[in-house]
Amino acid sequence: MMELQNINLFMNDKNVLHSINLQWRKGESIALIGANGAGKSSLLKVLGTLVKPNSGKLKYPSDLSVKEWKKLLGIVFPETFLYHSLTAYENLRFYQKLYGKINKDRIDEVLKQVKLFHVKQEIVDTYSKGMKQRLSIARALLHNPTYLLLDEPFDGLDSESKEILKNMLLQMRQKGTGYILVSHDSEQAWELCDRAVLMHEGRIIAEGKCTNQGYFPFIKRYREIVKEKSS
Amino acid sequence: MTFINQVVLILNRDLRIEFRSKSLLLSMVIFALLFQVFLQIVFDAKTQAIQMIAPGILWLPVLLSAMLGFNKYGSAERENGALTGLLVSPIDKGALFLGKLIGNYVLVFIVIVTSVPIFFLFLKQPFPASIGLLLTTLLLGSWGFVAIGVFLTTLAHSSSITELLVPIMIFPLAVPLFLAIIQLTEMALFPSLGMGENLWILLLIGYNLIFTVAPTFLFDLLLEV
Ligand SMILES: Nc1ncnc2c1ncn2[C@@H]1O[C@H](COP(=O)(O)OP(=O)(O)OP(=O)(O)O)[C@@H](O)[C@H]1O
Ligand SMILES: [Mg+2]
Repeated sequence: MMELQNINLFMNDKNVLHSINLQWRKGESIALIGANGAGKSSLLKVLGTLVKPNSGKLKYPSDLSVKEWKKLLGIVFPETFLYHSLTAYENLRFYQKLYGKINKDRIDEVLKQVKLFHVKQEIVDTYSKGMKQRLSIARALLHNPTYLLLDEPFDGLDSESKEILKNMLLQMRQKGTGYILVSHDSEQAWELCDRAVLMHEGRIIAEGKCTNQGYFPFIKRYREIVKEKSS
Repeated sequence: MTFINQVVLILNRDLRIEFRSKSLLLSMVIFALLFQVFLQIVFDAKTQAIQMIAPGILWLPVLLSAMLGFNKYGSAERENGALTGLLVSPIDKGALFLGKLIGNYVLVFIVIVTSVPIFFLFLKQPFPASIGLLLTTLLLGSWGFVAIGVFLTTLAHSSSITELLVPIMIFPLAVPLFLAIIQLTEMALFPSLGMGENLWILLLIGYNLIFTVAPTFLFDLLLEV
């Protein structure tokens, strides 16, 4: 289990994260919901060890070191991490080696999953935005991560690609891969996750299990809390 | 993945990208050649004067062209969050430094191979007294300079230090290196001055070791969050 204890994060003197406590069990999928600027991306950056919180503690699963935690982690951020002058295949080969194991079949497998196999020898610069996003997803899944951080992974995808990604996430969920999903389509995120966490101005203000009928009551409660806080 | 494999991975990535477009390499080589020609025009006919400052004229195009490379080399890493992709991966940052150092060195080496022969051709210099010493100085001296350059740029790009600081900081840091390479080049070009070269070579080796080994080990600690 990954655990955040009392995390505070300041960026340019702005309190971006406010005593965040979060437990992320292995295989658990969490929908992270909140308005623009609520601190969702910042929270993912803390989990991805990209920024160091000003106070509080990160407890890695089974006391792993930071390096070992990084090996378990797969990341889809708004930036694709891709090299535009390399081909899709070269990009994936680079990232695969970075995580240790070289396995050509695995590269072809993920390329087929995101429907880019037929253009794998083309320079990424020639890809459309959605194709780059799909390749970025392939890059993140390549090393079979146990924990995934997904910041707006559906961004720029057409409806067919959205469907593909949705099915990939459901499949991974079955296989025991956990993920934190940030998406502005909160209803869809709700469908894809075990638990929803609501953020507002750097704080976690509500949590709930993603049950079949629970979405609308949950969102209603969220709106009420936000109204209360701002009045 | 072993440390060496990581170094090779970074080296391969950068050289593949550089040699695909070749624009950086070409501009470095052309710059060095044109600068060499420029110096030739400026010091025309003053053979005596040239002899006195020959080591400087030999090195100047190489060093300035190397500076041209520091910021541009591996710039693909700073696009589309690729550097973030490295920072969230389990790579050793020392390997990142060393891979870039070797790749940068390859480009500077190509500049040396093209620019130094032109120096002898254009400036009608006598054949060097000790070609072995000249080669040693060129190889060691450029390694040292590239090492500080890559050290400073990597530091600047991975932290909040601005890259504008690199050209300002590189020259004070490189003073011992410049002293050594100018002395050694002079000894290599003109035999009568050949004295105490071993000491200077030792200084050069020591300098290279410090600026290669220290960042390799420190970067992983320095850049860890
Ligand atoms: N580098 C920074 N310097 C100063 N403030 C920052 C920085 N990065 C983020 N912030 C602030 O932190 C807050 C949270 O930002 P964050 O990107 O985490 O929000 P978010 O929930 O991901 O929003 P969005 O839905 O728009 O992606 C915002 O108010 C933002 O202004
Ligand atoms: Mg965000």
